[in-house]
Amino acid sequence: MRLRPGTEQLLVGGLLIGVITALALLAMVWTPHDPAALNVAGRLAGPGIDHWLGTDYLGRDLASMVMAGASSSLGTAVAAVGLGAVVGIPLGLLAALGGRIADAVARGLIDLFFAFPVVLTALVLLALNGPGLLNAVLAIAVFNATVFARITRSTGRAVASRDFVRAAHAAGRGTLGIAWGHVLPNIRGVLLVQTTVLLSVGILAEAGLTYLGVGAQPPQPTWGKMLLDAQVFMQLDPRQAIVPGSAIALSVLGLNLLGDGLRDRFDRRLPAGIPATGDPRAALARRMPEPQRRPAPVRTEAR
Amino acid sequence: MLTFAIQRALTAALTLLAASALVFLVLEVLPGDPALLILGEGARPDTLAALRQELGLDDPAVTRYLRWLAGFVTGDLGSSLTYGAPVAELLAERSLITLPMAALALVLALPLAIGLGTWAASRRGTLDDHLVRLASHLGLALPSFWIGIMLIFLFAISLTWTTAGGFPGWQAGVGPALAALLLPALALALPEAAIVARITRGAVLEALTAEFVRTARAKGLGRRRVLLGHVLGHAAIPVLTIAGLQFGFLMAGAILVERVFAIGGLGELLLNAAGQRDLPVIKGAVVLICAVVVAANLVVDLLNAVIDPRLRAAGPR
Repeated sequence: MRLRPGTEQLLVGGLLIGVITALALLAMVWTPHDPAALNVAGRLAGPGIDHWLGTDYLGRDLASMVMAGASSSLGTAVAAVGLGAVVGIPLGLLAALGGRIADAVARGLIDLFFAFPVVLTALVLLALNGPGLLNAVLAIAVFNATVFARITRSTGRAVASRDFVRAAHAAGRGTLGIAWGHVLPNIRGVLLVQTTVLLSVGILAEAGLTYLGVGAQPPQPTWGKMLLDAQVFMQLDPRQAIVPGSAIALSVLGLNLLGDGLRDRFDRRLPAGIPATGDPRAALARRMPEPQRRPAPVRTEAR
Repeated sequence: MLTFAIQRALTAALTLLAASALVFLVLEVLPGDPALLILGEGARPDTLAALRQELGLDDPAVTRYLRWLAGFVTGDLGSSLTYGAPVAELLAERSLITLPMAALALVLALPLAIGLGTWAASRRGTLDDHLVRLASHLGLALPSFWIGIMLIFLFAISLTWTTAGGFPGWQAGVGPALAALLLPALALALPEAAIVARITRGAVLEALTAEFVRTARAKGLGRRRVLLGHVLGHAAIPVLTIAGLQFGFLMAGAILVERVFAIGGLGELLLNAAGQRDLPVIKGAVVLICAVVVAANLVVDLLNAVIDPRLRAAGPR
């Protein structure tokens, strides 16, 4: 039996993300131990029946901390994607449908914000507001909004130039109606794929920001803070860094697989392997059809 | 080509100008009184007045912005509030650590990634191909600062081949300085290589299906000649584009990796300044990093236009 393209990635990625999301949700009501409970006598313990993944340098339960860290990580990434979509997608639609001036303004804004990496925005916010979860969410959301605006603009323009949109326009449908009724439904596959990519970027960014001390503050456990602590005790117990590191890697891997699978299903325009950065300059890169899906005549030659 | 280059350079300059205005607006105008932001709510009025005087905050915002902008030309960006040293001097000194580290990361990442990606594409479907793809998936999932921590464990703690971080300074000689930058650069390079290898593999696979490859093979050229002479040139554009786009991520990653290795670069300077609300340093460092990102994208655009003349005709977009 031949599976539809992307099925394996969707299954593996979906399973990973499903489990991690379930753990993150569970951690909001229950963890095996209180992730903030100290037990200095039992510090740096190995995995066992009581502490499944062992304990950290203050005797806190690593499994509980990883679970609570998942809430912080996924929560930040999801909130940042939501905020980014709410700002970026309308901006991109405006650029695609709103005429030359709107397009020029939106393009200028997109170019401007692309010059600011997430960490840079976060550090500016740190100087303004002091440390806190909101800074991390906002900094990642600014980046996400830029990416959403960029990809909505470039794909939206392609849709807007097609006959059925012109017909709707001629029939007297307003710009808003066209955006909602014709353009959005035709680019939602692209946006869905982009969402998974940005969620994985968000998880990596949250870990980085909490490592720098910019994001959520103690006693809230975060994967980045766990890594910062682990670095000090590296010599005694490298497992301290491997546990949160694996949690980050599995989450990002799951989302990337999910994204690849969704891309194969819904977005044939983006071949696997091209991170959908939403940059129209990557248009040449993205225009490539998926090589695997082609009856490539060269294959026989290449062997 | 010249028109295109000038056009792109102007756009880049405008973007950078807008970025500087945004940074100034957010840090100096929106908070109301920057002196209050720096010193906090509990500051005494005379201390606040003195700081306002020192920073020239009594002038209108537009005057201050223009003066600051002129500082990028004259080299006078004011003094750091925590270090006491001139900001321009601090930025120059720290850039000489961060930029070589980022460049070293690119030097490590690009040949590795392009080599592996091409190799995997040319052996598509084999075990080698699958291994490269698996490694690239892993590389994408691992944060650079975690890789840095593990590299320290491996090379500094377990093997004791090197120290766990720090930077001796260029005056200690090029060899020791580069050696100190090697592990941080490697930590930055591995995720970068994972992305570029993926793109290269896809681009080479795509180029292999092109008509000109079939023609070249039909003319009797060997596989290797076709791969090196025809396919790689064609695949270069997406690879370059992504490598350039990734430069922003590389600079962001540098801030994290510098923290791991404590090498005292631009990122660490900015991190400490942000914690201390050292506004003159923050403004300067943020604009400098933006400039590096914008410049990297400009270089990629121009290189792409050199490789593929069609892009020049199409204009910037």
